[in-house]
Order: sequence, then C-alpha cells, then structure tokens
Amino acid sequence: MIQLQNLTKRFGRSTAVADLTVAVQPGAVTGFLGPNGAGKSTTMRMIVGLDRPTAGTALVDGRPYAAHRSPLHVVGSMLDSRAMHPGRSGRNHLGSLAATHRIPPSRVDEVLGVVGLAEVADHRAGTYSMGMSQRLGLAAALLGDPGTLVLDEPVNGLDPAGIHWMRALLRSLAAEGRTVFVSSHLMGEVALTADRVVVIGRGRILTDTTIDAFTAALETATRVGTSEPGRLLAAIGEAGADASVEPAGTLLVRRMEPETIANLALERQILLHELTPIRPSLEDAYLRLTADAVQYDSASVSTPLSAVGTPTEEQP
Amino acid sequence: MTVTTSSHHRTSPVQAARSSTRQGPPGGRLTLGGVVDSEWLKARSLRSTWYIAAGLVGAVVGIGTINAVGAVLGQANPQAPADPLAGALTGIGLAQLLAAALGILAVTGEYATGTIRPSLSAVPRRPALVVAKALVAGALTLGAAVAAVAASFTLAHMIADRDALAANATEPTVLRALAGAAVYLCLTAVVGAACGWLLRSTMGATALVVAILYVPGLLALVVPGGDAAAPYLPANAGSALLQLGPTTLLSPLAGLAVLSGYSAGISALAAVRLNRSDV
Repeated sequence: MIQLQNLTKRFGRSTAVADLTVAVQPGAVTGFLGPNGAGKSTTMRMIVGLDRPTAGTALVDGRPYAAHRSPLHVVGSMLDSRAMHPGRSGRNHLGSLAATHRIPPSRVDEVLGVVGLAEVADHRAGTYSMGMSQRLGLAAALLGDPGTLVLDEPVNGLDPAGIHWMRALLRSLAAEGRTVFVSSHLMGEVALTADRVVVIGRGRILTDTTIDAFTAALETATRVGTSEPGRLLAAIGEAGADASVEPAGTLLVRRMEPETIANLALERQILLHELTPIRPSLEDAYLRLTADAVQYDSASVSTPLSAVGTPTEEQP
Repeated sequence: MTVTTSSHHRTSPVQAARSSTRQGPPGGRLTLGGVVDSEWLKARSLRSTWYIAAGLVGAVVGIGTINAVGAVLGQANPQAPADPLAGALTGIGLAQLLAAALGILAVTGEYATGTIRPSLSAVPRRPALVVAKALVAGALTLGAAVAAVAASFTLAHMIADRDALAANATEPTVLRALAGAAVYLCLTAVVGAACGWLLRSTMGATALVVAILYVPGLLALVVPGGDAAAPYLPANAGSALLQLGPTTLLSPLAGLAVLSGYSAGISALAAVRLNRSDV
C-alpha cells in the first residue's frame, strides 16, 4: 500500500511533481501513466527515498520507506534498468543487494530463475541486452519478496514474448495481494495489464480511476456517409445532437445512436451509404487528457469529443 | 478497487515466483554488517579493484627495489648514512594515489554506472553506506599495503644490505615506520572514498585528493605563520607516520591522530552531503 499525500517536488523553479495525493492499493496492478517528463520517475524515486520531497509525504505501509527495518522486504523497486556495473556479473549484482539484508544466495538463484537469467548469471552485466538488463532489474526488485513493487517502465526493451511474460508476472504478483505500481508512457500497455490507472501530466494528477471506468467514460461518435450532408446536418441539429462535416465529406455525429440516425434519415428520405460507430481508443483518450494537462485538475475522466479520430501526431 | 484474477498463471516462471514467495520473507533486517558484506562483495567482484591493488603493491615493491639497486650501485659514497629502511618506502608517494583511487572508484563507479540507485534503495539509511565503503576500501588497502611494505622491506634489504635485514626488522622504530606506511595508505583510501561521495565524479574526486595532499603544503610556504601549521597538514601528518627519528614533524602517534581526524571529518562531510542530496 502506497500513500502519497500532497507530494510535491520542485527542482529550482520547475515543478516536477505538484501536490500529488494518491493511494495505491494492494491486490491490484496500478498503472502510472503520463508523457515523458510528467513526473512519474520523480514520484517513484520519492517513494523509495532517493529524492526528497519538497513538500508532502510518501508512505509505504504507513511509514516512509527509509523508516522500515527491512526496506527490501517492504518495497522492491526497479527505477533504471541500466543501473548495474557492466563489469559485475548479474549474480554478484543481486548478491551485493541481497547481502545488505542477509538474504541468502539461494534466494538470488531463485529470482534469477524467475526472470530467466540463470544461464547468464555469471556473465558480466555489460554483455546483457536491454531486455536482459530489464529482467535483472526485476530480479533485484523481487529479491526481498516485497509486499509492494515500484517499477518504472518495466516493459521497455523487452521483446513481445518478454512483454507477455512481464504482464503475466505483474498480474500474478497482484493476485498474491501485493501492491504493484507500474509506470508507463503507453496507455495500450497499461490497459492490458492494470486494474487501475493514475494519470499525471506536468506533475499534476489528471485522473485516478479503474481501467473499466476509464474505458466506460469514452464517448462514441458515428461516421455517416450520405449524398445529402447539408440536409442531414440540419436534421440532426434539430434533433438536438451535434454533427460536423469531415474533410472526406462524411458527417461525424455525436450524442446520437446509429439507430436513431438511421431512423431520422429514413423519415427525411435521406440516403445513407455509411453508418460507422467510432469508439476512440484508450490511447486517444489518454493523449487528449495529457495534452491538455494544465486545464485538468480534477480526478474526473473527461474525453473531449475532438478526441475522436484525432491523429496522434498533433500531440506533444 | 478491482482484483482481477489473471488467466496467465500457467506461465511457468510466474509459478516459480509464486511458489517462492509463499515461504515467508527470505533474509533478515538491514544491518551495518550486511552492508559491509555487500560492499566487500562489490569490491571483490570488480577486476579494477584487483588491478589497482596489484598496482599499489607493484609501486611500493618496484620503486623500493629500484632504490635499493641504486643504493648498491652508489656505494662509491661511503659517507652516505645507512637507511635502516633501505629505501623500502620510497614508493609510498605513488602508492598513495592508487590507494586514493581504490576509495574513489568504490564510490564514483556507482554514480557512473547508476548502481548507486539500487544501492541506496537497499540501504536507505545512507550513512551506513558511507561507513561500509570507507571500511571496505580501507581494509582492502590496508591488506595490500601490509603485503607491499613487508615485501618491499625484505627485498630492499636483500639487495642493499643483506646483513642488516635481521637487525633492522626487529627495530621498533623501523617496524613502526613500516606499519605507519600501511596505515597511511589505508587512511588515504578512506579519504579517497569520502572525496568520491563529495564530488561524485572520478576526475573531480581525484583532483580533490591531490589538492588535499599537496595544496596546503604549498600554501604553508607563502602564508605568514604557515610554518607553525605545517606539521598538521594532511601530507605532513602522514609523513609523521613514516618517520624513523625525531624530525620537525609531529610524533608518529600525534600524526596518526591528526590524520585519523581528517579522515573521519571528511567522511562525516560525505555522509552529510549524501544524506541531503537527491540521487
């Protein structure tokens, strides 16, 4: 259980994390989303005491991380997968971390097996691929069999099989009742793994909800192709819904079900040749949410209509 | 909050993770002893540690031997007073830089590679890491230095004055100077580690060590009243440990006290600096 209370971090004049209040619950994978530079890593560093908060507190199981007698048994963290000495073997890297808590070498072997690095454990870490480094970082996080995991971009550098494996592992860790807090800048990735999602932008919290609620809040629209766009536009307007003409000449209709549109067209004798429901992707919703970071302060999920069909290139 | 059961549990590594986590937490509490063990493993698992230690031994033995050979060849001058150390400690000047490097790299290597983050995540009570690194760098250097000094002394005597070896080796002042040299190198490694914490970069820390060793001596020459302070300067307090007879330096014990004070002081500064800063 991670509790962030008004957590704030300023570096000089720039604010990396602003007044963040979040409770990350056990028994679930919580995705921590935000664009690069949104303050995710800074927040995670504050949770394990690497960065000092300018204001507010970060508690794990009711205490600051450093106040625990056996920190590695409380939180396992992976904040930078490349954080290992290239001249030291993976086994010695883990062994040195394990020694601090008198964790036996047998546990080092165990976690090396869990992440699939047993065969290369005695090779120098400098020879590891990005994906292997990532697995070693995860092994380090699992060493103390902690109740809380804090992982910064854990799927970075993994191949598709590795990503699938990582998702399964995160889910099973959460199913065991652990708190799993995982950052990502990819909504799609989080949607496949997480139960909850915390989105931040420019250091501020944008939303804190379940993935299901996040998905449910997405508004749909309908693309309508017709030979008489002008008449249909007017009819839809009279019926109290919104519609706009797309560059291709089709209409984009909101707040009106496809069936209603079809009935309306039939009544007015307007020929339709396309009727396509369009559901914005989670990715679109997320990009929209974070693009307008400054305008959103509350914890509500709001997907502006213009998110529909918005090309991703226009997002910063 | 939703607890979703996954359909991916069949994956075998995951099952390994699950079964392994059912046996209760492995290991015990975070202790200073554990951190020292950890640092010792870190030091001995890097080749650079052994290269530098070998370099330190090589510097003391090599330069001491060359000096002894020179003394033999230079026996045309019988007026020269016999050195009971037979020049065995001539290489300490070079060896002290290698000792400092051992301490420096133990710290700056972590910053350069990013290992400092997992290290401090495992040891969030940071002064423990400062203490452990100082202990390990100091102990490693002490071990190498004792071997180096003993070998250098024995070799130099076998070359320069075989007959004096037995007599000099039991002379208390000679033994004290040899032990003093080893302790001096050990404390230099401790200072090196502290400089590493203070500046975080290998180049910066090296420059700081060199400055601490040489700059005060130069200042003492030009500052009025510098003479009085001179014996208390780090390099001179260190030299006091190596002296055989009475000199203008502090007594060996006083030199040891002053040097230990510097080492402890700069290590405390390092702990404060580490405790205050973000990583």
